[in-house]
Amino acid sequence: MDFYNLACDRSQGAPCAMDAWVAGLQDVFPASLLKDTLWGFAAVQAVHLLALGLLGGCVILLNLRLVGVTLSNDPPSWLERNLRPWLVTGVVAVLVTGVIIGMLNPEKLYTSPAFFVKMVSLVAALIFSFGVTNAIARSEGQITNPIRIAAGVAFLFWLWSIGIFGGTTGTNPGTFHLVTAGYLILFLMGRRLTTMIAGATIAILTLVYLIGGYFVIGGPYADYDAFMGLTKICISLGAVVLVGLLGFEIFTGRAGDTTPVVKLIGLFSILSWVTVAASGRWIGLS
Amino acid sequence: MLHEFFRWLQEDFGATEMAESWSQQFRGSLNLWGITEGTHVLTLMIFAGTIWLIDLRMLGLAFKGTPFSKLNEKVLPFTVFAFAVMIITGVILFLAKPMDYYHNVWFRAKMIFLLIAAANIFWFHRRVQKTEHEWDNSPNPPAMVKLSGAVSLTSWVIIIVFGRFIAYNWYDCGKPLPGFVNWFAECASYPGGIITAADQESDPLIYGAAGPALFSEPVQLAGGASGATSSTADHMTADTQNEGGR
Repeated sequence: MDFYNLACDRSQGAPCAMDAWVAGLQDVFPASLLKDTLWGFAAVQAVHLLALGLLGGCVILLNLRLVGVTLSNDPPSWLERNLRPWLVTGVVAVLVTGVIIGMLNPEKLYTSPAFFVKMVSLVAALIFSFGVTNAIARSEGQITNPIRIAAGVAFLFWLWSIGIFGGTTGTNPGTFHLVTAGYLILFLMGRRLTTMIAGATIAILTLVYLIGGYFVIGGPYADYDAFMGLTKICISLGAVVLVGLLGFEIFTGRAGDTTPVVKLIGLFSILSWVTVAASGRWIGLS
Repeated sequence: MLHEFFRWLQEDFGATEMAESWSQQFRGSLNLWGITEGTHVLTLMIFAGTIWLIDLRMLGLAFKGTPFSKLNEKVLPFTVFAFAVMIITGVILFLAKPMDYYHNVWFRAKMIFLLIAAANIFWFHRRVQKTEHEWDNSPNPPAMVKLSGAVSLTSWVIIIVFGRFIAYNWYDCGKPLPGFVNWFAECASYPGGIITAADQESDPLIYGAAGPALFSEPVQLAGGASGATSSTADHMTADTQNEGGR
């Protein structure tokens, strides 16, 4: 799925008003100032990356606290108060530079499924960061019904985004980053048995991928479809084991001072932002 | 000497009559390069954010009411872990095009700032941190601490920006380049050798039309004389040409 096919019904071959709007974005301020410069596009891209770093650190620290794995002796509200200005700076910078990058590069994004994934997961991530986790942290882990509803909506947006991410040929290898992020969080929160099962799963899947990959692509018959299939199977199996282990840890693990629901929200909040970043990278790679 | 080693690594190592070198195979791989590069970039979310928060604390701009030692103890492990991941994926990515990166201006500049950042870390641990007990709780640490924090923050910003610029072919060896760039990137040992603005004037068909925009627009070798392409389109070409060799 992408915005190009959402904008109009393409089967009739009729002209689509959206196409002209997208094509003209380069000539609208502020993109119009940058489009004929050598450095403009690259400089904006670089700032986008710097902002990603800043917001990533803030999101990860705050939500790991909600998951209960770092700075767990300190009140979440203290962490939220100290991180807020930097999180806001990072998010504003990422959005402003992101819009400019999009205006300078509109036709590529218009037809890119990865960009569609990025926008859907961005909605989820923004709801999580500015409507859910900030409020939960400020009230030291207390959760109200409106926040529950906001978290549910954000979770559905995120599920939708990863459904397209993993279901589209070309973007699906990008879900590797999502699974990796999930395992990292699992290693941080997991008890010994969980981390051992997780480690064994990763080792086995890596071996299967490398050996299987050699036979379908390195041998005399280079079968790219089979290789993409193998990639999909390995990442999916990794994801299934991960979901099981994370669920096991969250619902039966160390209680800490937050509830399983708050832990889940912290987890999904990090993963939403990772989805935004990973799908963004795979706009260029798919 | 290093040039010859990296050329061998890029073009010959692992190559047989039937197959390209391992470096070229990795670069042309279906997903391996993309996943490695994606991991390198996404790890910034852990690395950059956490180290900047510590730097900002040293500058007296963040976590003012929190002892530095506490932030350092709780947050730095994330930074160190992410740094290890970035170094490992960075080395693997280097092996995709070792000779080209060796002669890349931005790559070289990035390595210099990595050394500056490393020297700063060394100086901080050996000298500045010795007095930590004196300023640990201070919301406004002394100048020495601020200096170290500022050097760290600035170098990592520059390292990330230069890292992004590696993907652009503005100053690649083999194009007409200013003397300093030719020297800094050691273009003399790159295939094609040193090419200057004078070459471009004497042979515009090969090196593109000369003019005021000589160094302000990417010039394409051989057949790239059609100056009509917009610079935005050139950015895109630069991207796909340099990212994974697809």
